[in-house]
This record gives sequence, C-alpha cells and structure tokens, in this order.
Amino acid sequence: MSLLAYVFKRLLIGIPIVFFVTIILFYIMYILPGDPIKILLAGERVTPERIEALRREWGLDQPVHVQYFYWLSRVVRGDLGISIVARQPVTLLISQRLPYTLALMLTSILLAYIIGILTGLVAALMRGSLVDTALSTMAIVFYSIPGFWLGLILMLIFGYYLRLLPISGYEGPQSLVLPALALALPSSGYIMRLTRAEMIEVLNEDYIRTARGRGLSESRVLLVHALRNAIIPVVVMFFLDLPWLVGGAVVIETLFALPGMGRLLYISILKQDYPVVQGIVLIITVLVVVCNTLGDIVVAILDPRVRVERGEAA
Amino acid sequence: MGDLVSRTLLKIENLRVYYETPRGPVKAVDGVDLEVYEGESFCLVGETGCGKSTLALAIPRLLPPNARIVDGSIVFKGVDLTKLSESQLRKLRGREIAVVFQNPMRSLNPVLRIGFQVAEAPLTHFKVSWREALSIAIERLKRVGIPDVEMRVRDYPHVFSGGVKQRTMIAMMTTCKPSLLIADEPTTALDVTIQAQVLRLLRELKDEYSLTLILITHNFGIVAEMCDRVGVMYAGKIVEIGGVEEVFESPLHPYTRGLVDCVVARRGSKARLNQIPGFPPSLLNPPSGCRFHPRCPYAIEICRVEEPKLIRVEGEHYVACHRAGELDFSTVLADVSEFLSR
Amino acid sequence: MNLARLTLEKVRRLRDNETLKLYLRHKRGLAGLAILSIITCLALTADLIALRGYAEVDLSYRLMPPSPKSPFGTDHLGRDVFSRVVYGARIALWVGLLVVIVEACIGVPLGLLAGYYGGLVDKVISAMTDMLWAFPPIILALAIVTIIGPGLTNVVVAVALVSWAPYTRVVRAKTMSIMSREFIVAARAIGESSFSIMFRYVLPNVLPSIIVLATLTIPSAILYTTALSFLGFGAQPPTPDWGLMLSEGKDYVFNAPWCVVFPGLFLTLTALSFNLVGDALREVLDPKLRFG
Repeated sequence: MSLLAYVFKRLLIGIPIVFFVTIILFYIMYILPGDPIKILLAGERVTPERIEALRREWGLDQPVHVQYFYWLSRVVRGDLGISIVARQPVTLLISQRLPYTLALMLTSILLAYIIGILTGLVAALMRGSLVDTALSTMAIVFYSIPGFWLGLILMLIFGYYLRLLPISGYEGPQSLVLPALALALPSSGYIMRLTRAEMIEVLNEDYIRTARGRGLSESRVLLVHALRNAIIPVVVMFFLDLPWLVGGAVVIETLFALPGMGRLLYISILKQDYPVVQGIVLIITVLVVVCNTLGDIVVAILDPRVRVERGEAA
Repeated sequence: MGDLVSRTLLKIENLRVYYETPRGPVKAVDGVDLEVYEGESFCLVGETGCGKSTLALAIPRLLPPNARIVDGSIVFKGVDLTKLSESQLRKLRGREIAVVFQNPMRSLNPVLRIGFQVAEAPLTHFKVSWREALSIAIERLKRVGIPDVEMRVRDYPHVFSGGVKQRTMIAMMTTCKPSLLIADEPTTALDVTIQAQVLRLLRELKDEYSLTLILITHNFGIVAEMCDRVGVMYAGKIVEIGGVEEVFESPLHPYTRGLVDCVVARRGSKARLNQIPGFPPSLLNPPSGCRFHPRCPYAIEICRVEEPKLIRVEGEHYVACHRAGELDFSTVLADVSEFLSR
Repeated sequence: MNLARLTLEKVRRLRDNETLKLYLRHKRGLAGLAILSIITCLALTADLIALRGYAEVDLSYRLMPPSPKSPFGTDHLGRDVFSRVVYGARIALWVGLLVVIVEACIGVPLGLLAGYYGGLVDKVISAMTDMLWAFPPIILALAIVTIIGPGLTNVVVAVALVSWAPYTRVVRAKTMSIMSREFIVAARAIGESSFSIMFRYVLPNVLPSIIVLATLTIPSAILYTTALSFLGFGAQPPTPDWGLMLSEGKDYVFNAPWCVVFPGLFLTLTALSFNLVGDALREVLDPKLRFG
C-alpha cells in the first residue's frame, strides 16, 4: 500500500491503544493502597462526616468506571488534578519540569546514538582488527555499567576532583553535561553493538556483491547500499529507546537533583501524591504510544517491504 | 555455433583460489588453466561444490573476504587481473566484465527503487547526468522485456517475481555494454518456464552486442542449448575442455562420460539411470593423484599417485586423464546424436 | 523425565562439540567466564573470607579509608565495606538468577503458546508483549513495588513481571520456525496432544536460545533490581545489597568515595562478566558472525 495509507493506518490504531492503556493505568492507580483523602488531610482533625463529604465532592465514592470517565473528561481538557502535596495543579507542576527532562533525554539520546553509530560503523568496517576488538570490548563494558554509579563516579571526578562541572541542581546547560553522559554512555555501548552487527550482516548480503559487481565506488556501496539497510533497526531502536530513557531519567535526575519530571515522579511516589504520579505516568504512556507509532511510521518510510499488505506481490 | 578460431579474450593460467577456514584452507580452485575466445559462449559445468562459482567469481574478484588467490594469473584483454588493485578492478566491473548472480531474490537491494539501481552503473562509468543514466536504464529494462517500464521504474524489487528480478539484473549488468558476461547459474533459482525465457534473453543479448558469455551451470541440458565450448570441472580442477558436440559425442574423461550418461538416460527412451557412484570429495583434503580416482571405474595404479595433466587429444579437445584415448565410450554415441539433434 | 534425559544427552554431546572448542578460543568469553568464576567464589565463600559481619557497626571507626584492616574502607556506620561487598555478591547473583527464572517461567510458556497455536492466541500474546516491552521498565517496576511494598523479594517479583517480554519473543520465533519441521507435523498427524508436543519436541529445541538469552538478561535483571534498591524501594538496611550501599554511600561520596566506588565496581564487573559470556555464546552459536 502507499506510504500515506500506511501512516494513516498506524495513527488510527494508535488512538485506541492510548485509551486502552489509560484504562489499565487508571485501574492500577485505583487499587493502590493508601486513602488519598486521609493523606490530604493528614494532621488535620476532621469529623467522619467531613471525610465523607470530601469523598463525595471528589467523586471518590463512585464506582471505578464512572471515576474513569470523570478523570478522562478532565484530562482531555488538560486538567490533571491537584497535587496533594503542593496544592497546585498537576499540569502546572509537570509543565514546569518537563522541559528539563526533555532537554536531558534529547541530549543523552543524541549523544548515545551518535557515539554508538559511529563507533559501530568503524568496528564493522574494520572487522576483526585490533580497533574492532578494542571498540567492541569498550562497548560491552559501557553497557554493563549501571547509570547511577557512572553518575556518581562522574560527579566525583569532574565535579569534585576537577571541579569542572556542576553536580547538583540546574544552573544552566552545563548542569546537563554529567547527567546526560551518565545516561548516554551505557546506551551508546548497546547501540554500537547493534550497529556493528547489522552492518556486518548487511555487508554479507548478496546485493552488496551485486553493487560491487557493477563497479560502484566503495563509498557509494557503503553509504547508499549498505548503511541504508543497516540503519533501519537502529532507527527503530531510537524511537523505542526514548521512553526507556524516562526510566533512567528518574534515577539520574534524583541523583543530580535536577528539577525534572523524573525526580518529581520519585518524590511523589515517596509522598504518595497520587494525582501527580497518575499525571506523570499518563504522560509517559502517551509518550510511549507516540514513540512507537512514530517508530513504525519511520520504518515504513525507510523499508518499502513493510508496507506490503498480504497478497500484494506483483 | 560460432567460429572457434578467434582472439583470446580471457586466459587463466594455473589459478589457485583457497578459502581460509578454522579447519584449514579449502582448495576450491587448485591449478586451473583455461582460455575463453572472443564472442563465444563458454560453459563451465560440474557438480555443486566443485569450485566453478569460485573460478568464475575470481575473475572480477568478487569473492568472500576469506578467499585468497594464492597463485596463477587471469589475463583479460592483455591485463593480468590478479595484479590489479581494487580501484582498478572497479573500473572494469560493470563496464567490461559483468556478472549475473545465482539468486535474484537476494541480489537486488530491497530498499532502493529498481530504476535507481539499474541507472547506477552508467552513472558511475559514463559520467553522465542522472537523467541520462535513468533513460539508459529505462531503455535497458525495455530491452529485457519488462512490461510497463515507465511505471515500474519507481517500484521496489520485492514486488517482482523471480523471473523479472533476474531480467532486471541482466539489464543492470548490460547497461555499459560489457565485453564479458559471467552468468553464475542464472536460472537455477527460477521456475522451469522462466528458465527458457532468461536463457533466450542471454542468447539474444550475446548476439546483439557480441558479448562473450561464460555460463556456469550443473545442468548439461543448458550446456547443450547455450554453449559453443564447455569445460568440465571436478574437485577444483578442469578435467575436460572442448567443443560442445565433441565433448558430448566423444567424452574422453570418465567423469564427463558419467555426466553425459545421466542426461541422456534421463531424456532418452531407455530409462537407464547411470549414476556416478560415491560422493564429491572434500576440498579441504582432496584425494591424492587424480581426484576422481576413488569413484572411477577405470582407475589404475598411476591414477592414485600422480595428478594427470590437461593434454590435447584432438583439435580443441583437451582432457586430464592418464588413460585418455584408451577408453572406449562409443556405446554412448547413438543416444547422444539423437539427443543433440532434438 | 524425558527432558532431563535429553538435556543430559546434549551435555554429553557438548563435550565433543565444535562449539565448545570455539568458545574456548574466544578471548572475551573466557575473560567473562573468569570474572564470573571469581565473583561466584566470593559469593559462595563469603562467610569465610569476610573480615567482619556485614551488619557489624563500629561508630568509632566510621568512614575510614582503605587500610590493611579494612581493604575497602568503612562506611558511615563503621561497617567494613569489603565484607559488605562480598556478601553483596551473594545477593546480586541470587537475585539475578531468581529474576531470570521467574521471567522465564512467565515468558517461555507464553511464547510456546503463541508460537504453537498462532492465530488469535498469538495476536493477543504478541500485543501484550509489545505493549509491555515498549514501556520503560523502571517506571512499571516502581508502580508494582508501590502496590506490593518495598523489599528485596518484592523487587525481584516486580522486575520479573516487567521484563519477561524478550523470552516470549525469542521462544515464539523459535517455536514458529520449528513448527514447520517434519517431526512436528508427524507428531500432530499421529494425534499427540499439543501439550506433549510442546514439552517433548519444541522445548528441547528452544532451550539453547533460552540459555543464551538468560545469560544476556541476568545483567539487566541485576541492574534494575539494584536501581530500585538505590531508590530505596528494594533491599532495606542493613542488607548489603550493592544498590543500597550506593544509595547510602552517595551522601559521603566526596569525603569517602570508597563507599561508592567498590560496590559499584563489583556491580559493573558482575554485569560485565555475564554480558561477556552471553555475547561470546551468541557469537559462537551463530555461524554468520564468525566468518564472512
């Protein structure tokens, strides 16, 4: 089918998926222990009638599916509720912190992929050589390092001994350097191995031999023929990695005390601030679905074989 | 059939091509001498694994990375290809020497449009504009018989059938009017009905552009149909060379005789199945002396000890056998004449 | 049991196997195996080589740098870091193994079902697997831990519940490729029960892939569980879990870096050793990667 048709089809499927996941999400939040009302009023002395009144006011006495629709209608209007702890709209809290997390995520993923792809290509082309062995070993070491430990070590070296970069809070873009490195380096190892493996496999394919057989220049064979094929799984990985980085961001932001959404999530879980947790997880869910859909679309753009509907060969 | 006495286009002398493996070198081509004349169709025939593909691919040096040309020379139009650098060879590939590979399903790049792929060769070799290269491509694709070329040119390979893919490959390889076209089992992966079409196309192109064709196959039927001269390979060595009629009517080597027997028995009225007993030898550790001796019903003492050299028996007919000329295969004669006249 | 007999036979064949010989020539694989053996020894002999109990507090001896008495120094409660690291190895290996076993118990049957039955069953299972795989595991694990409460066991369950997807995928793919083979078709024609076919024929063939996958997922299992402990949701004090040690030590990282350096180093080495072994196994078993 045409590219456009495929894109529409994927987008169309994406929407019900978001709904479906929000239902699961809402249900999980619903069965979490802890009574939000009691937490909200912690420390205050209230009568049971007051508690019941509040419960009714917040709609917490309704059955699950009714609560879900209330919640959904609010969400669609951009209202994610009020934070129990901060007494401010969740949307406001998140929007204040989202830019930092996005900046961190984008910086680290770009860093990881640039380093990973370049080293992977070099290793594939110089396969079997000392360079390849060195790069491959380094890559495996990198993706064995826990991100939070790497962050601590980086803090120690660059923040303390060398006093080169800030290690806590946000003072400007330079505050993102160490956190981004801590997130990016382990990823880059994995990307390097993936790129290398894909490139090696592609270079063994018959069509590469055909390309060489036509007398095309080696750079043309590598770039136009080989890389064009090998890069496809790597690009797919890019879109899948984006949401995964949010998980890493939670840990890293907490470690480096960055005012991002990840750290907000962590603190909110500790303080049982459910509206905030719910809001953030919703955003992450939407992000996951969007990234996956984008990934599928990009693959369809890059690989024409994917667009074939069953029974569509010439 | 073409004139057999003409200029030599390709001369191979004592070629040895080995593959490096963890278990030792695999001697795929172990001392081959061969001449191919301008304008002829030369068939290289043999069982799977006898080294014929390696021999053919060694010419443009399109071998896997663990293959090495250990010894010998390949002289094409007066130039020894084994001594050329990679960039020098690149100028010849696609331009003077073209290869059509065995498996069309995997030989086309799946993410690039076919018009693009066919146009790349003239773009590289002729330094023309993209538009001109594309029009050459379209003309070529029309020539090989692909319908609706103007529309199909923007399609991707996976929508095409095997036959169309193979014809696209042929178009791709003939855009620059090469002098030598090497076809490595071009029809093995195709349906029988398509096979005939592709072979006919190759024949037509050969006549149109005075191509020299080296055709590799394990199918003697194709040999009879397509070729002027034939070379029989066994275990990395050439055991017999000669004109097609000569080799069919009076095969000199026991192995050739066995092959001819199989073909004729299959097609002839007498349903005799004369199989060659035994299995092809390992190229890692080939048998001593004449490589065929373990399976040869006529082997004598010397066959086990000394490797026979390729000697001329009559005219252009050569054979590598210690008992050349002694053996009488004349019982084959009647069947073969009938077979060839069909 | 048939499965045990088949496995034993495979082990016997392995002895003369080419693959084994190739593995022994793979330097990185050997290095990984060496490191893994050392760490396993540490874990097994912890009681013997530890200098003091992992919970032994000595407040007069806090945050001391490495010395002959305490080769890795002491932490903020005066506990010997070396002893804690060594006991931590036991925890890490144990946790890694458990997580992988639970993951496999969930993922493998699902993969078998999906591959064997195909159709709707496959679609449902694949959809579930894809959705799970796309979601950041840490977030989901956090969610689960919030529901079931903190603690090392709970974290094991949480991480396993979140990362079984690779097992389903691999097993499903292998199952599908095996399904078309003659002996399966024959068995079905005779009328063998699906369950029996899956167990006696498919599973043994899928087993090697599972083993390779296990070696490759143990490191991420260890890393996720320690990350959760680092955040405070996993092991609780005074457990000598490496993640927890990093969390406790991070407040003192500048004046007592050894509290953080050594646990993390061993964590990295453990993950590294599994990764090296798994990687070598994969390269050795896949002929394409070996030569051209």
